Amino acid sequence: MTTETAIQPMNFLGKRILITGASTGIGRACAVLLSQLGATLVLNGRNESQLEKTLSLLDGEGHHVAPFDMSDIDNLCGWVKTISKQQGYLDGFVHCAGVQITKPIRLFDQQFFDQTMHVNLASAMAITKGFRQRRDKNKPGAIVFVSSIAGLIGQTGNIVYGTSKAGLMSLTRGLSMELLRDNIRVNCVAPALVATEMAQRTQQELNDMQYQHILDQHPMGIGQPSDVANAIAFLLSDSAKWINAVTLPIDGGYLAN
Amino acid sequence: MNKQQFLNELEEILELDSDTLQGEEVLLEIEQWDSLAFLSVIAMADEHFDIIIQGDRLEKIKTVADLTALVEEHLSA
Repeated sequence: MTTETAIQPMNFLGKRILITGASTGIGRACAVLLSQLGATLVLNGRNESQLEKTLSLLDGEGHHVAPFDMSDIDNLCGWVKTISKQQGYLDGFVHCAGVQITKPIRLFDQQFFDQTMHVNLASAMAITKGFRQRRDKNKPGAIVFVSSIAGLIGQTGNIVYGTSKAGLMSLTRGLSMELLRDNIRVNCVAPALVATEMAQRTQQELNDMQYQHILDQHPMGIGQPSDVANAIAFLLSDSAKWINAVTLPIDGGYLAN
Repeated sequence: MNKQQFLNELEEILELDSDTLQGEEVLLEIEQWDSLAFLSVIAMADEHFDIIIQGDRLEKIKTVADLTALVEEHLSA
C-alpha cells in the first residue's frame, strides 16, 4: 500500500462541499470532519447563530455560511446555483436538514405532511436539480442523503417522518441512475438513534419506560454524530467511487437485533 | 386557543363526541386513553402552545382537569 490514496483515503483537499442542516447534530459533525479532511464548506441551516458556531469549529479557511429555508422548494435550485457562482464549483453535497415531529395518524393533516415532506424530501430533489446543472462532467460529483432507519422499520407515532426518509432511499436509487451521465454518485445513510438535539427532544416527549425501550433496541447503545459523519465522509470521498445507490445503515446493530 | 377549544382538541384525540369532556374525567378510565393518545397530547401541546410536556410529567396526570392545568397559562380566556 504505497499510493497516496491508501495513506489518506478520504482526502478532500481542493473540494467544496455544501452541507445542509449544518447548525447542529450530524450536520455539524460532518462539517467538522470534512474540514479536517481538507474540504472547503458551504454551511446551510435554520439557525444562523448556531451556523456561526459550527463555522468557528472548522479547520482551514474559505468556509461560508448560507442560511436558506429548506421548505422554499421552488427557490432552492436557484439558491444552489447562486452558491456555486459566488463561492465556487461544488464537488458534492450532504443533505442533513430534516424535521421530525412525533405524531400518530390521528393527528395527521396536510400542513404536517407538507412541512415534513418539503423539508426532508422535496428539498433533496430541488438541491440536486441545482447541483447537477452546468457541471464539468470530467469532475466526479457526490451526494449523500441522511435518511433514517425510521424509513426501514415501523415506528409508532413516526409515520410521516419514516415515509419521508423511505422516500430519500428511493430517491437515492433513482437519482443514482439518472445522474450517471453527469458523473455524480448518490448514496444515503440511515442512522438509528444518535445523540443529537433531535434525540434529546424525543427523550423529553417520552416517559422513562418508553425511552428505555428505544435504548434497549440499540445493541451497541445510541450513536454519536461523529459515527454518522465518518460514514458520510467515506461515501462522499473518491474512495467510494464504485459505490452508488447504496443506503448504508449506521445503527450499531439495530437492524440485526 | 381557549379552554373549550383545548377540550375539543382532546376530544378529537380521544375520538369522543364534541363537548363531552367536563374536566373531572379520570384519563385512565377513558377507553381511548392509550400510549398513542399520550403521544398525541404531547404533539398537540407542542404545536399549539410551543411547549413540550415532558413524558414523565404527563404520566403523573390523573384527570382531564389536571391536563388542562398543565397548559392553562397558555390558554386564552
